[in-house]
Amino acid sequence: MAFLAPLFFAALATLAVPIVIHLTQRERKQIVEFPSLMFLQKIPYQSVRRRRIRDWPLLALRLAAIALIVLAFARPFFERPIIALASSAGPREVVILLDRSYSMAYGDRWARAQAAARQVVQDLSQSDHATLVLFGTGAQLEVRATADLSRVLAAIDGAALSAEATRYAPGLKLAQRILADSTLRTREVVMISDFQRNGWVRDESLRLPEGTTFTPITITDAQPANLTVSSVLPQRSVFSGQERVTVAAGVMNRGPAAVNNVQVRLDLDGRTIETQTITVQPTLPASVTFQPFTLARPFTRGTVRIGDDSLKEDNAFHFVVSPSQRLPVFILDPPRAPREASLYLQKALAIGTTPAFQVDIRQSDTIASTDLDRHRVVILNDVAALSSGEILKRFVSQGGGLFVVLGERANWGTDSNDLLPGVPGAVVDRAGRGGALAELDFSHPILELFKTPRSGNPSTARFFRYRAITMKPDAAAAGKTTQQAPAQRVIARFDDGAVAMAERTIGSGHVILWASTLDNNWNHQFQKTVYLPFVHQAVRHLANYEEPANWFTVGEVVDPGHLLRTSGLGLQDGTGALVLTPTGQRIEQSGTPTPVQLDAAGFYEVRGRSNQTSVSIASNLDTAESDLAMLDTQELSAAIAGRPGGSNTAAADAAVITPEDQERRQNFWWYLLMAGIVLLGLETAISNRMKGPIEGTKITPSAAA
Amino acid sequence: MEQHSQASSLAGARFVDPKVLARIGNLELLAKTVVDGFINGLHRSPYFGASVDFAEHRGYMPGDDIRRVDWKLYARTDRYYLKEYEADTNANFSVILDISRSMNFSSRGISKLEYGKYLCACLAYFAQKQRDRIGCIMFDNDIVSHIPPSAKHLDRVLHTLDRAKAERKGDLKVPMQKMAEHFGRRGILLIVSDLYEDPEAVMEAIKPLRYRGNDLIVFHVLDPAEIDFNFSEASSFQDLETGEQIPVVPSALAEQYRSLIQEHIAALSSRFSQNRVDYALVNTATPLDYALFKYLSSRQRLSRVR
Repeated sequence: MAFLAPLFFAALATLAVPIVIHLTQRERKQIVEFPSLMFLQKIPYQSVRRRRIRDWPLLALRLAAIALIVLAFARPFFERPIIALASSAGPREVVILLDRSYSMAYGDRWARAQAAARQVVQDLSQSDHATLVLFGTGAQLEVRATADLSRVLAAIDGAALSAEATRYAPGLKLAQRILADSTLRTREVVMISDFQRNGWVRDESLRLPEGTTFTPITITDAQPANLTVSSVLPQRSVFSGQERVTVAAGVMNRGPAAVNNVQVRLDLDGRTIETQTITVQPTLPASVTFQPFTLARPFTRGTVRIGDDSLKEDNAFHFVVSPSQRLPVFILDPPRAPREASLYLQKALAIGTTPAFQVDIRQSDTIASTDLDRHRVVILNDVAALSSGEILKRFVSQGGGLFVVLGERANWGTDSNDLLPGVPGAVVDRAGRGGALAELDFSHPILELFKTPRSGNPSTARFFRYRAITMKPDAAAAGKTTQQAPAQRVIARFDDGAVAMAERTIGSGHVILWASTLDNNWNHQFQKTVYLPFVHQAVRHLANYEEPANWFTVGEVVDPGHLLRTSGLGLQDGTGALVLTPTGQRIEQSGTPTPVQLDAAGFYEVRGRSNQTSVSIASNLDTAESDLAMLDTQELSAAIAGRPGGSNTAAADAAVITPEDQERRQNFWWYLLMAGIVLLGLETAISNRMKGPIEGTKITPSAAA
Repeated sequence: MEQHSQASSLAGARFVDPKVLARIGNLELLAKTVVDGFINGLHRSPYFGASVDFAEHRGYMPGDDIRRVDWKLYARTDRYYLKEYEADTNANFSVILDISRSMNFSSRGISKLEYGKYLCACLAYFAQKQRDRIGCIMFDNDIVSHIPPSAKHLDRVLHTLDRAKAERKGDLKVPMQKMAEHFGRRGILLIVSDLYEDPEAVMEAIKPLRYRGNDLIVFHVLDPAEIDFNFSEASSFQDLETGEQIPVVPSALAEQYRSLIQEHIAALSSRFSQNRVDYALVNTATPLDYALFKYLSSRQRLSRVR
């Protein structure tokens, strides 16, 4: 016989209450108001207080009733062997969810978790079915619903930690599906985890099938301490014409005590550059700023590292920095155009920093076909159709950008059919106040910048002259829909409905057709504040420019082809790519590269099959996983099963069927409580029947009186 | 009850149960009902009118009013004699009602206080008919209200009686002492109380009134339960005045109690008769007529000048 709540036995002290009352308390009597006690007080009497117990059966009834009720609250149950219990309940479907997030690498948690999982499997009977699911950010089904427990044990032994963070939902959803498919009546989910708070996001749809027992087995340590490099911020600056990078790192102490003399080290390309010593207060971050260094070569690999602690995985933070690259832009002016023909464009592009632009200006009749290849964007500033139209088309289809600015000299004719989204027509003269941009497609990347209120209004500029553009018949309709990216679309129209800006996508490049000039001849746009961001955004869009990421997080997916293209190394279609992971694994991809999921912390190397140079990217662990604060397993149990089925670690390690389950199945407390209530009723009936003359005090006239 | 049977023997007297009378809300109407019925039953009128008939001479005593000296007799005898007449004036009649908390006791619907009020109202009304001057004093452990005797004070007396409430502990000595100082002119004093004090203490308290030459009538009002002690349930008895409680088994105590109360009554009766004070034990179950009869006999006695 065991008790679920033995502390209730303290309530047995209340047994003394009826005894004390029985011995000491006078019964309540009717009070009679009498004019004067003058004569009554004169009558001598002797009081015999009862100091012996009368009515033994009544007292025994009262005591027995109280004892039974206390016993019921203590929740007694008979401990039975697990196997016997299991066999009596029929075969079970048990899903074991084993947390393999990197926080389980803390101390010997992983070994303990594996041991707990093995114990659960060993406690199963031959008829039970077991499923092993390893979970981190996602869930992986290792062994599904098998009675061959040796397979499950082997899978547990072969399981390894991942670099993922903890997320309970995927594992639980997988368990939910497996249990829903099961034909066995008794279902159970055993989750073995360190139950980090960060891993749980309440999800109402996540409910285990009714009747499922959820048993959390907590693998934890008392007051875990953990230092982590939580962030790195490389800041660029120019000193003496050279670009320098200053690295600032954040170190977070997740433990309950301050950590002194923490060595924070900055490594660049495997060499230690600088080490600093700091003190980190408990539950607080500290920051370290290293001396600036000059960026010599692209894809410089940096790591900020601190000394070892119980969780080594989050003690390093990787990043990759490259020297800033200028975005090459080629402005073509008409033949014999004056030098200031593209003055406004040139000045606008000279200001850019992210990225900086490298502007080359040539007259259109002096270019060679190879000149285009060195540039990412070509701006035809009021230039007539080039004789080498095919060169432009190839340039665009390979990812280049073409910005066609129409003025009075831009005569395109039929050449525009293959390249431009529309055919430039006659000059429209809007004398007087001029026209304005009226219908703007803010979903387009160029105009998206002006989408939010007070972020600039492109409609303020007045346009006095522009070229009429006749869109191709299908393109005009397609420009209205933004659900799918069409090959040709109208981005902006003037207030008279004429097309102001249109785009055509050819291959992986874009062509933008702008109906007016980008100088002071036909409009006042250059005077408006939106001019500079408009030009910058148009060039960035045409160049497919993306700010290079210094690092990624484990679990993210990267496209090797995209990395190679944006790095400027170039990638030929169908040439494939080679990805080297931090663990030394080689992922060879032929043809068009497919996305790769980052599953380890460190540096990935991506190289095109035909290129000798490579692109490096840094992958870091999810720093949220470093926070080892625990979730209340009762809360989790209640949320997913609707009833607390949990047990503590020690108890759960000892047995899969918890004492709560055993007690719930036996339900002795109910019978004891009913017996106590019946006895109380019996006592009331008997005492009412026995109620007679006054019992509390007996007064008898003395012999002398 | 001896007294009850004595009252019942009065020819023509109407015995109205006080409980029935209690339904009459108006004290004056109640008094009128009782007194008129009582008078109608008497064979001769109980009223004593003012008289100028000579009664007797008596020797002058220091303190006598010199205006009453018979100067003609002095001229003849050279001695001072006072000339006395029969009922040469109407009497002062004051009802003195005990309104201590013990008077609140009732075991049969009407409390001692209510009974006392009816009694006082009836007698005041009766006295008014007698053309006596009527006054009223109510006391507990002090004098609570005082209405000096006057021929026009019946309404005030009835009103004050009507409003009286028993709220405090009672005492006889202090209020009686104060009353004695008030009564300058002798008269009939009717004391209505339950007299829960030692007989000696009662006498000591009342003596100052007696010394003034007042004619005292004491109605000792008790509830039947106080006399018979017919309680059956073992209970805690709580003193109405002190709040003190004692557990009591009536079956064991009743006999003892009855003998004690009878001893008390006997002692009071004996003490009062020794001091020439009219004493009557009135049971609240007794009709009011009996009390009127007691008063009447006292009034008749007073009509003779002593």
